[in-house]
Amino acid sequence: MEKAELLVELGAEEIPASVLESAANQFADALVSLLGEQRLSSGQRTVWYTPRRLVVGIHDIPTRQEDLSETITGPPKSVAFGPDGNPTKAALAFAQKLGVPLSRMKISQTPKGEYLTCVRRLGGQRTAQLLQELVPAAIARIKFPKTMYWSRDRFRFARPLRWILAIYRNRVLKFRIGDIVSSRFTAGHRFIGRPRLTATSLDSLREVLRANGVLVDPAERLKVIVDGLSREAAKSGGRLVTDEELLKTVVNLNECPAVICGSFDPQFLDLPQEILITVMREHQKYFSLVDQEGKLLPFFLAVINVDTERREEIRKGHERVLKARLADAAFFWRMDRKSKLEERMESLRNVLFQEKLGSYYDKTQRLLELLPAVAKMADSPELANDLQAAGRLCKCDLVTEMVREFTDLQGVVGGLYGRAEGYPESVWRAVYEHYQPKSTNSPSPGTRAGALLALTDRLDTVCGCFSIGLIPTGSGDPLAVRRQGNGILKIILDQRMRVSLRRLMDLSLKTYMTDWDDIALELHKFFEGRLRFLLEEMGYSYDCMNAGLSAGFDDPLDAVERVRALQDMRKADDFVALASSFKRIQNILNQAGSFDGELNASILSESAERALWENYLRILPEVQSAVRQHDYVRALRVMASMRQSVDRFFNEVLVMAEDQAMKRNRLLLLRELARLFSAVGDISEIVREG
Amino acid sequence: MGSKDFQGIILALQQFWNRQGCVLQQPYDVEVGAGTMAPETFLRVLGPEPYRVAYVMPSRRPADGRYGDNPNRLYKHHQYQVILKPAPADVQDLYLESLGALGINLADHDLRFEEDNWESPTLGAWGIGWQVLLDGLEITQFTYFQQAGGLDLYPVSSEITYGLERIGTFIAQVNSIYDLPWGGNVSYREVRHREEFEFSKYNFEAADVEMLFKLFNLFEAECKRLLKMELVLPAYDYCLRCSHTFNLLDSRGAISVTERVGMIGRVRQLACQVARGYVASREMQGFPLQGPSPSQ
Repeated sequence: MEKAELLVELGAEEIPASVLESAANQFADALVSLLGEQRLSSGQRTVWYTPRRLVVGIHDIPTRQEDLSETITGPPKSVAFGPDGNPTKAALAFAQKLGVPLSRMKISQTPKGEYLTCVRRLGGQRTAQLLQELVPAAIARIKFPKTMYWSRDRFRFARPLRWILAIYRNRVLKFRIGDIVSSRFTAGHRFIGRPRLTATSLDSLREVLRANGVLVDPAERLKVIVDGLSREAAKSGGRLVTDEELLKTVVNLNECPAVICGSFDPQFLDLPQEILITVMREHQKYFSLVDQEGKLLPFFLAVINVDTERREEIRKGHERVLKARLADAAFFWRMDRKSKLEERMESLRNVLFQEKLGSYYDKTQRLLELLPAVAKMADSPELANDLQAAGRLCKCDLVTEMVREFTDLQGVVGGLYGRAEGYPESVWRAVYEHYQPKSTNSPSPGTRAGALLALTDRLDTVCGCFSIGLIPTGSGDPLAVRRQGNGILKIILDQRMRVSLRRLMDLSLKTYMTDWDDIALELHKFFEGRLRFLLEEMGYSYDCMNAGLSAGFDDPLDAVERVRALQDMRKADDFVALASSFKRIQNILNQAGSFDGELNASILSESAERALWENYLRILPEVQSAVRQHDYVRALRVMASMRQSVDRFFNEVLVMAEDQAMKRNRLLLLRELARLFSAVGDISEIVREG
Repeated sequence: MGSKDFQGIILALQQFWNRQGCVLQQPYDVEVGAGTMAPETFLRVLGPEPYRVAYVMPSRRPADGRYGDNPNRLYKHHQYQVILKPAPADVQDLYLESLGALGINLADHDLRFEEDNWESPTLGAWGIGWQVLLDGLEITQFTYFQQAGGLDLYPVSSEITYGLERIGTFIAQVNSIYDLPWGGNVSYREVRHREEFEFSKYNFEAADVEMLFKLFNLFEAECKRLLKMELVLPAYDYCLRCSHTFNLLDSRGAISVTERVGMIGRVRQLACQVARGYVASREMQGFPLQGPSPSQ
């Protein structure tokens, strides 16, 4: 069948860098899935984007839908025809609805009996025709975190759409969205390209845009930027401070990227490096350079959006702006240090944490109450004094000018001021690190004190929010409680802390309320969700998660160790076989109803059941000791060694024996086994792969 | 074209937007924090009537004062505000042309529209848009209004807010706002420096907190009274006075956490009532600027 390429470019006013990639991919996904719904296959896809355009190309779409015949089932024969064999009203209505004469229908045998049926043939439609509806539908499926409307039709998008280029088989697909009619026209770079260009294929689009100052493929822009950065870094004898996130941002902010190197007055190097880098990164999206020892150099690299020989003036402009920013930062640094960090605590009364949870002063007081107990629980009582000092300081930087200006530097600034005031490293570093981890992929605090402070701070936030009913739902999570929950678990895991979540919650909830059993239950569910999220990110499979977590997760580190062991073992044949035997054991126990008593070894009559019992007794202490040492792989391995005796037991022994005593005894034996096998998790959840 | 001094920039913008059919308004004579708050924006963007207006708006932000010591920060800066309602499809191009009218050759500069969505909790207003960066310097805020006074806006207005001091330092290539030539051989410093110093002193140190709290209550009561009498325009003046009084109290550090949320809510309530009252009043007048609708 003949196939052809679909090309769509959505031209817009500058779409935010952070949503570009996702929008373009959503658009491609929507197109492919809508094509699929129309029984149209699609080949390879190309997804490009710049701030002003989303481009999707889909190759090898058949030019025509295949014909389709479908069988439509009507009323049952007994309803369709009267005793006289004449069609009833129901039959006639069915025929009328389909527009097919009754004579062309027949009675067919279906699983439910005999029915009046009609086979309808649908001729395949031309793809070009279908696409005129599919493409607008796919555009409407693109979701953005924030949308707007701009013209009378109230169509919503991230930013105003200004043109749509839509081509299939080298012809324009005609449709209308809002106030835009699709065409074969695109536009070049705002200042160095022509505003009206023509393209009829992916390749011609890329080349005509290239000739007009636009690199439409983000991979090409990335390469230009990366090359430019390393070239400029080498020229100034420095090493680039790598920053993947910033790199991605600048790729998505420019159509025609070029890298320039500017410098700033070395006197600013007296400021802490963290502050300089943040000023350059957050406000100006500049990259920083360091020397061989990792010390910051008085240079910056900026990615500009124009290809011009006259870069001197652009460089000077950027340098002037940076100078003003750095002068601000230096001013804040000087002013803030006129008063001591700890003296700012009173002013925290004026900074709202949450309407119902009070100010940051209130939060600080709660942290001071929690910290000694958390330190003890985490087996680090020797840190109690340092934590007390860090706890007093940690929120004080919220009322510094520096943090007011550079919100992202909260914590870091407090730590730096603490260091400048001569606090011991364990104290200032704890303050410095206590907003880490920023996400599940970024590092958690490097010091134990930092980790405990960060953990306690988040614990207070999560429990506080739950205590006033601010429980995250679907998309509603205004205080990012989920992220805070992830942070708590990540810190526990990274620090390899053996703690009880319930005891941590109890500590914190006590500062908010007197009766919290219901809330603790909600929190339990919440943490299960967070833990599953983290495990999924780490790449664990669902069955291992289900199996491991079913044995509890109050000690999250232990739970993860169990899941990991299950994942390691799930490829071992013996283990998988054991898992299915375990399922069988559980079924038998469930069906057996209630029974109790002590197992009586003397009436184990058959050799297979005696062998199983002896085997059980032999491995029991081994499994127990492995579990005590959290060596769950060993525990599972030892269990798996039972496979043969379990199989033999089921082959040779009838559990539900006539003799009631014997039957009960066998059930008791199985119950012992089930208990043992559950020590790591509910292994019946494990699914055979493939 | 394109004069390098401060008033030359204003003149060039006036001429440019005059050519685009804008009403050239004069600065409003009540203190505001931004050109958006002037009635020519906040009220005109409401309702169905088309409107094009441009004006300079001195904008007072007490907390931004630096006693005249900081080369880039001011208690009072000047915005050049343009409202195009409804937003024309080529509004970005018009804006870029206006930069050309200031003598800036964009092919030799790094100009970018970076996401920046404007929001004013006190006015119950928000919009979607960008900050415009010219060689890394933020020179303009560009917004498509979506809501004002809690009302959905239809048609959508586009707002262009030029930071005149920023553009001035860019064109004159000076490192301090105070070194800008204002015009007539007088510098920005000579025209405004003392004002910055005295008002910083006032805003941070001298403003009488007790009196300001009283004034806030009085202004609020007056606004409500006028609203009852359906005198929407004078009522809005008092709403603006509440807002500025709140800003003064804030820069004096006189507002606690709980008060803060509450006071912003009170001003917003006034702004929302004014907005509804204004639309009702225009409707009573038959939306005089609407003209015959082409589609009907």
